Amino acid sequence: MAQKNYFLQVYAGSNAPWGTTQSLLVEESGKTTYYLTEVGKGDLDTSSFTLTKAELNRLSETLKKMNYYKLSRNYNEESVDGLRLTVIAEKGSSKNAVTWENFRTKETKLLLDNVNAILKKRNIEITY
Amino acid sequence: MKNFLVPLLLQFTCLPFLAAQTYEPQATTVKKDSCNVVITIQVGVETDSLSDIARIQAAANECFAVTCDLPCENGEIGKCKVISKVVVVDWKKLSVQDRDKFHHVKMVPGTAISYVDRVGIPNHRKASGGTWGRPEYDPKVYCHEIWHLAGLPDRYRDCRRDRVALGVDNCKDGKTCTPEQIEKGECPSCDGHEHDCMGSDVKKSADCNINMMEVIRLANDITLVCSEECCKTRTRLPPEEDSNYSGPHIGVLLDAGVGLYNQRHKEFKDDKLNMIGGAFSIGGYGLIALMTHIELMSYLKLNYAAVSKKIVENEHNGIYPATIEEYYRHRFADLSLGANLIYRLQLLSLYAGPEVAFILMAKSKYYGTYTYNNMTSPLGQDEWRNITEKKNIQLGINIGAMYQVMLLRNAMMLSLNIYYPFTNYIAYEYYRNRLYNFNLGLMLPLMYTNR
Repeated sequence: MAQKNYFLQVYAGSNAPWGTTQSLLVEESGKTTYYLTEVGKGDLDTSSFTLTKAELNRLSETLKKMNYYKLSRNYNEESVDGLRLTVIAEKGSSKNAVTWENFRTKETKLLLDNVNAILKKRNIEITY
Repeated sequence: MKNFLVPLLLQFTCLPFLAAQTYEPQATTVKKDSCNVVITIQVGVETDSLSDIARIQAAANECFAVTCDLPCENGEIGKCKVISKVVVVDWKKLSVQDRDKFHHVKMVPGTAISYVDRVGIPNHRKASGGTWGRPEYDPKVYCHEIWHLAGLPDRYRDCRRDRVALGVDNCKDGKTCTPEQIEKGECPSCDGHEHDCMGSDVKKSADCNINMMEVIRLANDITLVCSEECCKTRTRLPPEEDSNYSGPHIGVLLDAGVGLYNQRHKEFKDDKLNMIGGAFSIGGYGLIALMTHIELMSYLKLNYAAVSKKIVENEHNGIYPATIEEYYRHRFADLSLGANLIYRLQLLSLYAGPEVAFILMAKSKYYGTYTYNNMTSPLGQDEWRNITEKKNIQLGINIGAMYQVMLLRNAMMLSLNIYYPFTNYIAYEYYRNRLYNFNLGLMLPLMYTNR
């Protein structure tokens, strides 16, 4: 997979070898791609759009509020199957990749609330 | 005597069935049972819908019905099998002590994807659990989750974008996903797991050599092998060595043989009737071992007997000969509850025990002809009538012998049984009557429980 400079990657969905996954890939420029993918069947839905500077700032602020870069890499990684939320973000020298498996925290709520508020006008909702 | 014996016998006969409900000490247990290795996974389901329990048990019964051979050290097949079973119960009905012995699964409605809290560890005190969705996209998802509880991890390569971005290597083989697999978000099986339920397709069956053996290895117990003794080539093993008949189990019993009915007037000794016919029984039994060579079997069975008698008498009534031809037909049905103490001598066992029978039906038919001077007139009526409206309880004793035989790789018991009653079968005031049985029987084990 060709690596792009993504500022934020959000993946939410199945943690089992069946079901669907939503992927939101946000580049530093604001260019964003969304995929809804079913295991083994490929993309059921894709869309591309560009986030405004204000929206990008909101995402940055959200990561800051949730203290994202200091979060652990895994939450509840012992659990198997079910659902997972993976967030990969990189800004400057700060970088982190966090996965929540069948586990919700105030950070996941904060992130999804803000991401979904931004995506609402594009008729997209990330569910976890 | 009946007031004392019946409750005592009821308690006595319930023992094997009560024992059959004991649970393994761990939620996932792998242990030797004579030559065999038994994998038991105990799941307590917390739900507001009892149909969940039935649905999960049904799915598990289908997936875990597989019995595998446990090979000997030299790779040959001996007498050892790997048997897996899943016990699904209502979590709320478990006692506090028993809850520790079960994986705790919570059911949630909607399209949630089922998960387990952690992969189980065989023979470990700490149980796992999980949250399962209702409905799932396929009932075999529950089997996949139960295998996780048994100790098996997933065996597929996750080619979804996030895992690829993170460089996750589920299969731990250094291989990477192809662009096409990433494009399709595929989860191909790890090498060697293409045909089992822990790979990409959870709808597949468990594989004997891969899944079952892995659970046994995870139990980390060096005794879980096919012993030298069990690897000896023999067509039949003594009962102590053959798990098919060792340990508590329940099963079906079938009897067929001869019924003898004897009726005699208490005062007029000549007023007597002896009848012979067929006797048949079907029922269920439970068996537990009390000590070496001694077992207790209790049973509940439905008995039916059809006996008859033909009497022909010639006499002279005046100057002409007269002939009386009489037919007696009796039909009996009862429900009997009994217990036998079994003494096992290798393949042969001897047993004896009390039985109480609750009479359900006693019907009779009497008809015939009276011929005098070549004139024939009918006697009685060719129709069934209840002998008495009063129901009786019969007490008796069984004594017999059983012999173990192997049929389709299962041990069964053939029995030769004599039933001797102490009390009247029919509630007659003036008649002493007894129904004796002499039967050949077959005991078919259906389900083995914990030792």
